[in-house]
Amino acid sequence: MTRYDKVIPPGSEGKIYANVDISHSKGPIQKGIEVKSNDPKRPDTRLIIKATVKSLIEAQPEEHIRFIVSKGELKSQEILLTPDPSVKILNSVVDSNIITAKLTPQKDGVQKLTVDLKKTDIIGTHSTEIKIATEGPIKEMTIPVVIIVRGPLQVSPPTVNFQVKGHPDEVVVNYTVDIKQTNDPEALVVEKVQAGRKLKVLSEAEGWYQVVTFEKTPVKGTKPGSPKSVPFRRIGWVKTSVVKPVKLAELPGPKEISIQTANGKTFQVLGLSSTLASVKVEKKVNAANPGQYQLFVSLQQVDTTKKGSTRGEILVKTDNADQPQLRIPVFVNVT
Amino acid sequence: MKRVLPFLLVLLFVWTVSFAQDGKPNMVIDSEIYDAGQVIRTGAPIEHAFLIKNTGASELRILDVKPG
Repeated sequence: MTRYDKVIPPGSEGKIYANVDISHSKGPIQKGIEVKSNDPKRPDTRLIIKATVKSLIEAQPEEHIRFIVSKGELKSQEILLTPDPSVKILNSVVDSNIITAKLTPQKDGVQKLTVDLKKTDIIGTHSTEIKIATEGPIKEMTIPVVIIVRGPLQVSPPTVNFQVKGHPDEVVVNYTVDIKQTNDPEALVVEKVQAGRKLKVLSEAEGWYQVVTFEKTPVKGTKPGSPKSVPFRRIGWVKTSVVKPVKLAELPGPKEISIQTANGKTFQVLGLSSTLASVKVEKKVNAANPGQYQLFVSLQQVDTTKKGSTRGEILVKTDNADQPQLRIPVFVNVT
Repeated sequence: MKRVLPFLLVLLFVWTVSFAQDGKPNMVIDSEIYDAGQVIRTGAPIEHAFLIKNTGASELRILDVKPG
């Protein structure tokens, strides 16, 4: 996306070349560029490119098509294309045997695009596109098409989302405190914290601060195993002037997913695994309905000091010939 | 006074140069925000070159540029 002059001698000029892909944008956009330099006064600089992207062909209801069908089911969708007076719509081209597209002229240069599904025998997500050839300032317009063919096994909900509240940023404790008391009777830690030392605390408000260390190994005297499973450990309290303790971030409880066949037939879950070490999954067959499984997805541990989203998958092996493996996306969001 | 003025100018120049030569680069960017205004989507990207000047006394190095 960018190239730049790496070295700029004193008194000289250099350039940072940037380009922004707008082929899928619409309306106001803004892209940031982070620049790191050896200038001590501004080691980090943010450059911004702004624009308002205008399309010469308005598509209604949307500029893309999405089909969600069962195996073997065929459907049809329509899009109304309204061109700017400077543009004339010529024809549509499809490079796929899954769909066909047809243009029907309406009033004032407007064209109706009819998309028919032709083939839905392969389970999964298929992507293709329709190219609309035009005359005028633009020569072509692309309409992405996504076709989701669902198999006989239905997963509900289709994804798992864990929201975890992370810790606020580091704050400086501007006084000397003694950490002599701990709320964990097993942890026999006494430590003196010097004024001005940076500590990770759970709140910037005045109150009782829980001090957390980021040692990964348990300290002598603590219960083996338990502190290891968490990347941080409470070692005591820092007393300021007022009130009540702040609670540690709690991990969300397990999430439930059900898998069942659309046709009511029975099936077997042969294997379960998770691509994330922090996510565990267990199954439970519904005794009253052998065609249905419950999965319990739980978050075992997570580093709540690192904000961001992690994506993984739960892999379910089944004896169903159409869907021998299901992939259920899992998102862990630390905010 | 006419004789003193050139001398003062030289002194001012030396003084300025000695300040600039503290051995550090100094990055000056013409404009940190580029507004392309209304752009018609034709398939082509928006292209822009940001101008960077080094008014310091040592080499300015651009260490990393990434979207963000």
